[in-house]
Amino acid sequence: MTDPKYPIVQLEHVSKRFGSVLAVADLHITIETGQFVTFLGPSGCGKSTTLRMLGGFETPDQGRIILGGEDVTSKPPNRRDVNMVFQDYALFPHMSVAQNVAFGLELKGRNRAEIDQRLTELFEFLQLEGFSERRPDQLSGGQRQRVALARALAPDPKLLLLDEPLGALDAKLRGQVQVELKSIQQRTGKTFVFVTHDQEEALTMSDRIVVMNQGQVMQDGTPEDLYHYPANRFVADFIGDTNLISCTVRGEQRIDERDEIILDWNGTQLRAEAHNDYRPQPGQTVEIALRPESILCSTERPSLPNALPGRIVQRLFKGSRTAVSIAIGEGQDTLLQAVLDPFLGQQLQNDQVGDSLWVGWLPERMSILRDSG
Amino acid sequence: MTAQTRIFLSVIYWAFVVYLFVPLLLMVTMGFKDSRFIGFPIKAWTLNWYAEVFRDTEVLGVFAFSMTIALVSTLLSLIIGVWVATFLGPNRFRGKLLVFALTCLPAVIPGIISAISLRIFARLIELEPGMVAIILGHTVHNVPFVALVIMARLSTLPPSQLEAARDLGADSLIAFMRVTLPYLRPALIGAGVFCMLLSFDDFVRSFFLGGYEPTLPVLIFAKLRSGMSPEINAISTVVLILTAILGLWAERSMRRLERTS
Repeated sequence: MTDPKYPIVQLEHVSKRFGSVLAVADLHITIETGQFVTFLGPSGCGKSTTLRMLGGFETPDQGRIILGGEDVTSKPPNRRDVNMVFQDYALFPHMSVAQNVAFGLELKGRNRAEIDQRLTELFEFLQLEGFSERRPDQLSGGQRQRVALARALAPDPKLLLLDEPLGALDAKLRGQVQVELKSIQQRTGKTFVFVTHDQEEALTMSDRIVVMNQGQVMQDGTPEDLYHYPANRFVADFIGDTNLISCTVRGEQRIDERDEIILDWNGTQLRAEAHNDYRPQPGQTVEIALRPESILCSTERPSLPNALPGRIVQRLFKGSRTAVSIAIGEGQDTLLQAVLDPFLGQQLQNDQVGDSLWVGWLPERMSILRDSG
Repeated sequence: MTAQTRIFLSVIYWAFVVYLFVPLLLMVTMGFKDSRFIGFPIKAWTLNWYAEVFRDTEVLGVFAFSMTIALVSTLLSLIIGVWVATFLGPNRFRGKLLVFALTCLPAVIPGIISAISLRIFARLIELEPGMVAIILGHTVHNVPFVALVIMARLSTLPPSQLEAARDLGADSLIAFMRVTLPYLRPALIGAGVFCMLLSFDDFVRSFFLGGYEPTLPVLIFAKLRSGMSPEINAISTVVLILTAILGLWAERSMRRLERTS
């Protein structure tokens, strides 16, 4: 059933328009079996519409949806091998937990013995034993969420859709459920398509993240890729904190079997690792993204390809780390956000506002944004 | 609030309660008086009037006739009302407001006017005055109430409920039967009891649309014309108790159901 790398879903040039709003624009994506894929973006970016089209609650205006080799573009939800965990869970209030979970199985024509066996299996798997006779209003938020998951998993769908199912939980529980959900996905080997606007949630759980904005895919890759190599300003901004620096391309060089792009920032030479899919031309102005935690701060000039002198202009103690703003450049008019970890901060000694220090970073930590030209 | 206004308000309140219940109390009391003449003083008590009511086959027959009309018209009103509500509720179309207004109209037309027009209509379609005509009259009058109550409840049904049912393999009919209808239950009970009471209580439509067989209010009216008798007090008391029980039961079960959903 679960053949890895076998595409379970293909969205072929799918578009959806609501009135004058283009909710999803020419989306072309293949999802492989057994992956945890997250559609991430701000509200109105088209992520929920995409999920609803997969579920059959919206029909695309253009394009096709292929599920397990079968064209389901215009099939209603009840005739697709797909189940959904709704944002509000949508448990049936007049049914017990067991009746809720059995609902999909009954409609699939399973007999009583099969249903009972599946329920026992699922309740054990999701730690819901002893709750089967309760009504949804007698459950806590976390339990409701697990019942919704059990109900959606019960008919053994090819694809499980999750529409921001952690939104209703409090912050502490959310962290726990993230870990739980990821482990459930791994243990079942099911393909999960998750929708959220919470970047942390997406980074924690996903094998693959599709970042969307205004109906279009901004970037599609692993959490690590997205975090370290944001392709454009939107992704750099949306995921984590980032420094954006404007540079001019000078040329390329090859060092230690790697291609690097030589950049010029106000007369200082910087080196960034080159990626095969994007090669800016010499003379071009580009923006680079640099994560605060990629910056090394030290009292002496670090022996890194990229090193600049600077001065601390702001210092915010945040417990596990200290966030600093460092002014760099001749006029000290450019601010870099960096973090000092307590150990390093101790060594640094002069980490107060006004102190001078050096900053440095590795070429592979600089990501050249593609939409910066 | 000062102590004075508080006393003033509670006096008004209790005066209102007395005004509301003394006539009822008088009616009930007179049903137990051992004399044909209604009024004070009461010299002797009896249960004879009640015994007479339960021996009177005419009264019992009329009671059954009224109940049948109430039950059938309620059932019809619920079916049509739910149908109207599920159509008007979620759909958007041109002239929805007009359709809605037309639906509500029978509820606000003065009883006498709708009764006369229904009578004329019944004759036009050659429908004999009697049970069927009364049932139709009551149904026309009650559908708007059902539709309004059901629409109000329906508007609180989260769309995800039906989507979840569809998602789990239900077609739209199964989703309606297994998710929408159970969700509507408290509203159905409330609207149903209300329809029963409206129908059972109705005089004007039953009078104009009835044939030789009277409904209970029409019978009481007829009996009154031949003079007030404690038997009428006894009938009225029985009706009062039955309707009070029905109303209280509906109220209780609606509350219980709404709490769980």
